[in-house]
Amino acid sequence: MNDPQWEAQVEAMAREFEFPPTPDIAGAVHDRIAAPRRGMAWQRALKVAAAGLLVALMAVLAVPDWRARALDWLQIGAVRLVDETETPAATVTPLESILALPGRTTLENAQAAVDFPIRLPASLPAPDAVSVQRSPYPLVVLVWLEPGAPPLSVHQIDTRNVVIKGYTGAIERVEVNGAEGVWLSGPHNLDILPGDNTLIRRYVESHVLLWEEGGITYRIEGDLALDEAVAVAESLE
Amino acid sequence: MEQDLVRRAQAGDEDAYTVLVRQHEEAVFRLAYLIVGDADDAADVAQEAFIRAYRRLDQFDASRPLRPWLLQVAANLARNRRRTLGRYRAMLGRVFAHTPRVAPSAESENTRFQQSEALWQAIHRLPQRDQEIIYLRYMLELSVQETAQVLDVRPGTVKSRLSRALDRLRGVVLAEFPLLTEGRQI
Repeated sequence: MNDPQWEAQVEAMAREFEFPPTPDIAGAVHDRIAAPRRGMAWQRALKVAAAGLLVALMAVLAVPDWRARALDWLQIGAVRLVDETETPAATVTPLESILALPGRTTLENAQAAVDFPIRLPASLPAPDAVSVQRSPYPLVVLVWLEPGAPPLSVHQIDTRNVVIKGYTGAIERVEVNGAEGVWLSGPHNLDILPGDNTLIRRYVESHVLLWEEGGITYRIEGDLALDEAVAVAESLE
Repeated sequence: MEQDLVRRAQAGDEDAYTVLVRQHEEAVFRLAYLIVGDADDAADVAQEAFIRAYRRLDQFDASRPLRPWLLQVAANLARNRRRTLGRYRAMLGRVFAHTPRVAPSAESENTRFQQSEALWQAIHRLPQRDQEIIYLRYMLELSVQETAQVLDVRPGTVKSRLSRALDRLRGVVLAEFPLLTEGRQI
């Protein structure tokens, strides 16, 4: 058993421990909890400025250039950032996990099924799961699993698709391989429109890095810091 | 005072919540730091803990002290973060080891500082449950009562767990950190 002297020694040494300075967490938290209201402000502006745009969303999907111009400031490649209340009326299929995505296959079969090269992060081993969907164009999802933690996933999406992210948090502009991208931190919904008036919705708990290169929209989702996500992104080959 | 702030925050007063965050950010950040071992990651964890707590604030009993609950949320997030980072960073070819910021040396002028760093290293050799009870009780200097609230156990359980954790810590120190025992009777 322990004696009081040993406990006192531990107490004394612990008291000498030097913590790093505490950053301004209160300020950052205040900005984040206030962000949804600001997010709603741009949604209201969107409604007023383009009332018909969201109503006609499904029709717009067939015209990629027009679509991109219309929502340029909220769109990275195939991914459109909207308030989740603005997603179009459709049959919603909730997904509990990224592993529940349809189209599970092997990496080899995934490559055979899509007409763009599937890029893998040089620093990671082979993915634990691979899926290919059509939305209606190809969309590949590579997943690395971690028990007790959100999976790490790399999505490679034909930019002719439309993927909608219901997001009201802060959007940070970033650069990946010289291309403009965005960093979204915190939980949000990810909606995929397979093109049959249905909508697959998944709740994303971790952070997301988005950017586009050569007609493919890349999306890294995981519990990574921004610099780590960019390192994974820039190692794709 | 805290109860009033919690009730105002529950009613949607963001400024009241910011005051509460300011009051508890140091303890939450420090616990996260002890668990994840990196200041930037700890800041992320602490921020996320406060955001999650805010979103669940309506479920919180305002008559109870807030700090143990916040530390509970932060500890859960930090544990997940540590596991995730461990794997991702290993995959990325990085080394994620809780190495002391300065190597322990008996001759150094900063012996006490280095001893506390070496103590942290020694604590990291313990099972997670032992680590956390030592962090809460000795490094954050929480009372037995408050430690019990964070861990959701009875105060008597804190005392018995702490006793076992200290015993195991002494074994680790004797085997791997002999410098910590210099001039001491353990």
